[in-house]
Amino acid sequence: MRTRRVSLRRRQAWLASAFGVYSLLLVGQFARHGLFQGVDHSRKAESLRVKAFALAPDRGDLVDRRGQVLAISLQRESISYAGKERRMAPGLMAARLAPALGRDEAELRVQLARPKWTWLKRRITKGEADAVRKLKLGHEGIGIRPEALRSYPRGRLAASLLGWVGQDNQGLSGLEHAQDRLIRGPRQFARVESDRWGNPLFSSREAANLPATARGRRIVLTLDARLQHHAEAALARAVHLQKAQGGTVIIMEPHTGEVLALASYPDFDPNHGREAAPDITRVKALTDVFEPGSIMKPFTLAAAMETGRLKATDHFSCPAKLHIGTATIGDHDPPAAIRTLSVPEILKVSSNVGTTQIGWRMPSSVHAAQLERFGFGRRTTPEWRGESAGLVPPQPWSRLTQATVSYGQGIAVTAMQLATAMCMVANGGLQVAPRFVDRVEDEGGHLIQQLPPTTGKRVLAPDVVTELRRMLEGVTEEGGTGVASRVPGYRVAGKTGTADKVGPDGRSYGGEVIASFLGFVPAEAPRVVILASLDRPTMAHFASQTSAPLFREVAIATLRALGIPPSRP
Amino acid sequence: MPARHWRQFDPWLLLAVFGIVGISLACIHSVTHGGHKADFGAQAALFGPAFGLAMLLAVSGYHWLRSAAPFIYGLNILGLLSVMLFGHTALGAQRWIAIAGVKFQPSEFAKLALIVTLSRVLSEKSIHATDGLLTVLGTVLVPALLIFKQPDLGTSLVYGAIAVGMTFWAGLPVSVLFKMASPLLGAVCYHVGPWVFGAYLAGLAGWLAWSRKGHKVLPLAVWLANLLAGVGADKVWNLLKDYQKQRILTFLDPEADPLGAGYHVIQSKIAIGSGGWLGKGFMQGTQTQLHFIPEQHTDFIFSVLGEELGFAGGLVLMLLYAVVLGRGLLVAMQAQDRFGALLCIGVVTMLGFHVVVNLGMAMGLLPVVGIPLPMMSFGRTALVTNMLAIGLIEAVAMRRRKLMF
Repeated sequence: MRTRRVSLRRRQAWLASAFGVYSLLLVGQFARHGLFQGVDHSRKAESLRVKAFALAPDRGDLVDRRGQVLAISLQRESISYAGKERRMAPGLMAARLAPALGRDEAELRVQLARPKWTWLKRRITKGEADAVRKLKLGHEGIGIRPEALRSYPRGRLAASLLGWVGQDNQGLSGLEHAQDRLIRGPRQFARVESDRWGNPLFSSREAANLPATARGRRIVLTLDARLQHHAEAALARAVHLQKAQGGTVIIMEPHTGEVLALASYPDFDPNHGREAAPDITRVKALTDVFEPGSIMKPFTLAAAMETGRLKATDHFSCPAKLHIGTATIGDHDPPAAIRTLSVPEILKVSSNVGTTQIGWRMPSSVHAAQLERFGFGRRTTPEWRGESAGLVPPQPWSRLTQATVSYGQGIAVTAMQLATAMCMVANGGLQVAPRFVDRVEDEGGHLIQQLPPTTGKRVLAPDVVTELRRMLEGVTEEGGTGVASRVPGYRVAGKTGTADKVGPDGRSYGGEVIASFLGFVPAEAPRVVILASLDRPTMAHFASQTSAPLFREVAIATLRALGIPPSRP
Repeated sequence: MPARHWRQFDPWLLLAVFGIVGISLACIHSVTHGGHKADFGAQAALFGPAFGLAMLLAVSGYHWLRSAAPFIYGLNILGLLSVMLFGHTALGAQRWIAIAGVKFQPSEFAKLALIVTLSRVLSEKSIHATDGLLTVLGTVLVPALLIFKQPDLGTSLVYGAIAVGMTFWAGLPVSVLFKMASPLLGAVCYHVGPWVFGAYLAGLAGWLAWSRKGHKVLPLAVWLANLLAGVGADKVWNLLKDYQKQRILTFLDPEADPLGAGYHVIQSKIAIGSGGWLGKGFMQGTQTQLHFIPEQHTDFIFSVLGEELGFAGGLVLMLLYAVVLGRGLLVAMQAQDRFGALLCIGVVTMLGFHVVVNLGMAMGLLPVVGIPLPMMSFGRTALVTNMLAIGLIEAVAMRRRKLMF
């Protein structure tokens, strides 16, 4: 018994010392973390808790040049769900949430049962979100965070130009895409406390210090909503009347390059952009190329005159047909005999044979260089992603190539390139680029950022411009192809173009055309350049009967809206 | 009941328990006041009945437990079996059953059942005799395996700890305990490297031969068990559930996967560490209030205390546990009989093991095993069990042969 007692004592001593050593270890570890590394741990704790959040400032409002709102960001809240945090039975949770969210209970239960992070409903109003907030399900993984809803109060107006945004408010087409960074504004970071799931706690004191620029910016466009409306209405009427596939109308201010209207048909509702086909949402005036046809002729003439190889008084003998190798070039509706045409007459009757001879006066490299000065073969604006540069065929040109380029076949351009090039004629011969955005303002209307106006080199001498304008005005006079574009009381200058459209095989022409009219008013002191273009009209073939009347309709509405006084009494 | 019993009642033990439960409720409130408020109410409301049961046990004495031990043990096995058959599954394990609408964990009560049963076995049979040792082993292994199967690694470890503590007290030589545990060491050595394993086996052979002259079978069996454990460790490793493996690996290097398995430990250390001397103040702990620590009101409740009441608050709690364990040990030494002493030792071992492992886990000294901090962590069955255990010590204390001054 005595030995047992001694052995028990010894065992107690062993046990006590083992326990004591462990206790010391524990206290030591506690002190190490709690006291000696306390600062270190506090810093770590803070780095976990306080995060630099990239603020997603609401996209700025888009307004037209007169302050009309075209796109706004509405305050909404989105309900998220971190499935791993749920402890409640999914059925019970679904029963509570379904009425607040206005969702089907059975479907919601299925979603809640999955341990995944998902959105339960996005962009609901504050009132609806408050109903969810009242349920106090934050600890079951339900999160509520602000998310803006992009809304286009004017619906389809300027839809393809404005574009639309995706689920995460990223611009997906149009200006929303091209100017995404500008519209979002500069990236801002705020140090904000967040919980374990990374939800920012905006109720914390940091919220008060959020930079003011994160809210309420306005992006002022060059667009005029009234002109846009008239252009779209006229275009839609013309497309229906001519049973065309679609069309484009561009209205530009020639001196500044400001785009006053850019209408595309067919259009879509940007509030439901997801439902529209990408074929419709893209800005075809910038992305789609076509062979311009006779609209190209004024630029061929300008190139030849600018390089001193053509005078307005020159005359050309024009047979009905011109044979180049195995190919034949013919005019529309020519007399049987060889006729002599002056330069203005070539433009007025739109003679392919005459224009070809003018083109041939230039070496092909000079011809191409002049076209590039007008902006063909280059993108018109640097920032518009997805814009096409078109194609001026590579050097050297055969005589046939130069012939077709002269009258606008065998060269690919965009509608915007054509309108921009005509601006250079209308503004007295200065290079210009299209402008879509004028400036960015803050909530109070104070200027934040002014986008630079375009200033360009001279591309045409003043006397060349004068001659060209006079010739283009002749096109709309009696006997010209553009008679139907005339506006009572105003002098109109312009050119028709009925371009053969390459068939679906991409090689041959199938009889379909793109009919365009490109011009400016008033001819003596141009205020607006207008491009009216119809894709595959079927009721009439020639632009003189299809797009020239469309041009006239748009021009009348524009002159009236801008209050431009008539040229002649 | 004689007045002498009340005079021998241990008030310090009870005061320390009240202190711990008070701190516990404050911490649970701090964690849950924003969300699972119901947990705080449930725990607080249960304390009264649990305390009443404990006092009832203390007053009724412990002698009746000796004769009731086989029934208690049988009931306990039945309870564990029923969990297996129609238990309630949560967090990947089948631990709960519901009787008349009340959910509880039989594995918690099983700890007390084991203590009572082992106390009877060890007070009647000699641990030095082979049949005594085998009876003890069998008594422990049956519930331990049932619980390991649930799976609940932490609780089966508690059973092992209770068995080791009680047999150690009952006089089982350290060398025998070492021999029983040695295969584990063999497995570890095997994984350190072949040279270490070889040296270990050689040393073990030498020691066995020297200490057990004349015996042949048993030393050989132990040696072979070591060899097998080393070679077969991978097989045993594969028996563990993925999450259990992950926890052991995480213990070895928590920073390896800071957002996954190591998350608990790192967050717990950070919360405790950012508390400093006096803490950030009650309900002011940023890590706690923003819920950076999962299961914070259960297994990781110490991190709440560490962050909000600091080093000082943590030391107070550790001191309270020292009082509880110390008083328990004192009562064991003064117990009227061997059965009572063993009961106390069982309870002290059980509580001590919980405290040691849980605090070690919260501070990153030990791997994360799901062992709650007794009387601190949220858990209703555990609260009742722990209060009954305290009642058991008081029952022994009230009938001790202490000289009263």
